[in-house]
Amino acid sequence: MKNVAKSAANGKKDVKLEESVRTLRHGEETAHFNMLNLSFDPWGTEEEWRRRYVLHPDFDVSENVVIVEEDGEWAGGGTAWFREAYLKNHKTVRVYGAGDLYVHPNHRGKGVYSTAMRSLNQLAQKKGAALGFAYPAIYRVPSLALPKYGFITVFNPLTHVFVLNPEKFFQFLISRAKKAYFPEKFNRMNFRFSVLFNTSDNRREVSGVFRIEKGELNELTKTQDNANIDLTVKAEVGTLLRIISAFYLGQRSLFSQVLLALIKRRLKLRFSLRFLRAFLGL
Amino acid sequence: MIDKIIDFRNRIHKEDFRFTLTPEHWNILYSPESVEKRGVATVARNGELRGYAVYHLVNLGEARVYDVREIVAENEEVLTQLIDQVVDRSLKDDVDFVFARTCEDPYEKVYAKKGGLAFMESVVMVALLNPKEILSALSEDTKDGKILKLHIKGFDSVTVKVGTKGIMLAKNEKPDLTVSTDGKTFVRLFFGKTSFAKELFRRRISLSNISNWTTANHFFNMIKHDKWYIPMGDWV
Repeated sequence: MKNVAKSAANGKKDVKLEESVRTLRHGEETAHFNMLNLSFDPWGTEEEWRRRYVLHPDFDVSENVVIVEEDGEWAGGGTAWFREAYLKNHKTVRVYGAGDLYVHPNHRGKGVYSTAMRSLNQLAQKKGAALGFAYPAIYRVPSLALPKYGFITVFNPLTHVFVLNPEKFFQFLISRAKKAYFPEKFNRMNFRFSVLFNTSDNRREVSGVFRIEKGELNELTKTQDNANIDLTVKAEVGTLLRIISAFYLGQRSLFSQVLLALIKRRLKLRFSLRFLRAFLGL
Repeated sequence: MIDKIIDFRNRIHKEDFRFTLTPEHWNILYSPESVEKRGVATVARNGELRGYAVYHLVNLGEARVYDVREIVAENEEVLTQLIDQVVDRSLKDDVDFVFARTCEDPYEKVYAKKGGLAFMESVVMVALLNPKEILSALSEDTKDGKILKLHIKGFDSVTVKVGTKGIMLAKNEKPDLTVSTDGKTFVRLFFGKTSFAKELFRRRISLSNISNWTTANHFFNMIKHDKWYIPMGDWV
């Protein structure tokens, strides 16, 4: 589709990279599936790939799948799925959904994501799409990156959860938290989370102790003395979910949710001086 | 059954901005073979469909989860019955938790009444790619009206005739006013997430002739789509 020469920082040297954009070729389907799994670690099954890339109506891999190459190497890409959307006068316009944006681990930080995203918008415009849609999770990078490519948050769908097994739901929340990046100022700090669940027959408390290392949350298997805990959070599950949502909506929203929960005694916090200093940036 | 479901969805959400759903889309998006189990809970009265919920049984890490891809009900009572049906089935399938995402649903409070906990996990983001296509689709025969030239940064200008009941794309007519804005503000106005007055005050909209501000306000009110329906099953 196009070739662009650009500079990229590679150690101390400034190296000129030849960047080109094309669409996937027939015969490269397996390579694309493998690339998605390598980049997302993991992406999904071959059956799921077939559902999205072969069986999806009005979809052709050689037209809808963008590949970005750096110096002839497959570096990343993205996909456009087209739909028709009803307007209130019952007429339709063409729209597209952007998805499966990935960058090969060896090519991160070189602007491959930007090239893929811009190319997808251009491809969609050429194919007559009036609007582009994306559905990022609020705790992942794309929700912060997409405004650079013209996207803005328009709808905030709510997720309602009916918890039947509190332990498994607690593990699920922790698995999501492990995907988030924590500021380095909290490195080597220990946290205890206790979540209260009101089930139909009783009130259950599920807790765990965690430590942040290199910006990542890790579960501690050994029990810790209270003296070693920098922050203890004890909350009802509904309150905790509202606070997590507020965290991504901004500082003001987070502050008001935490304050409300503390006043209503649905949240208890206990922290060390070390944590307070780090939190306040002192 | 698929045809009945699609007709019902189109009836309940007829006023909403939404994607078209064909039986082919349904099979791929709502009834895929790549999940462990899939099902549709329905509520019918006198042989007429009153509501349905589509769910997939998926594994998230070590958890077994019912992921409700879409839930459409004509009233609160039907929604309550659908939630009960889905939770009952999930217990039989030894599920750990049930997820249901809603599109700013008027019956949202029913979920809390049934013990659901609400939180935000994803957002729907939109980018403007071709304003002329949108205005062309909204264009209807309009005899009288003022000529408005819309200039959105990064796009070719579009000229429309703004009548009392509709808008029509206009060609080679001298504009009564020019409205300038950016793509993001246009999207916010189009989906009713902000008002013309607010954006004018914030200087995200400028007018060549302020005395014609009512025409610009009327234009944005007429193109506004503040009701939407894009259930999770339609996401890619």
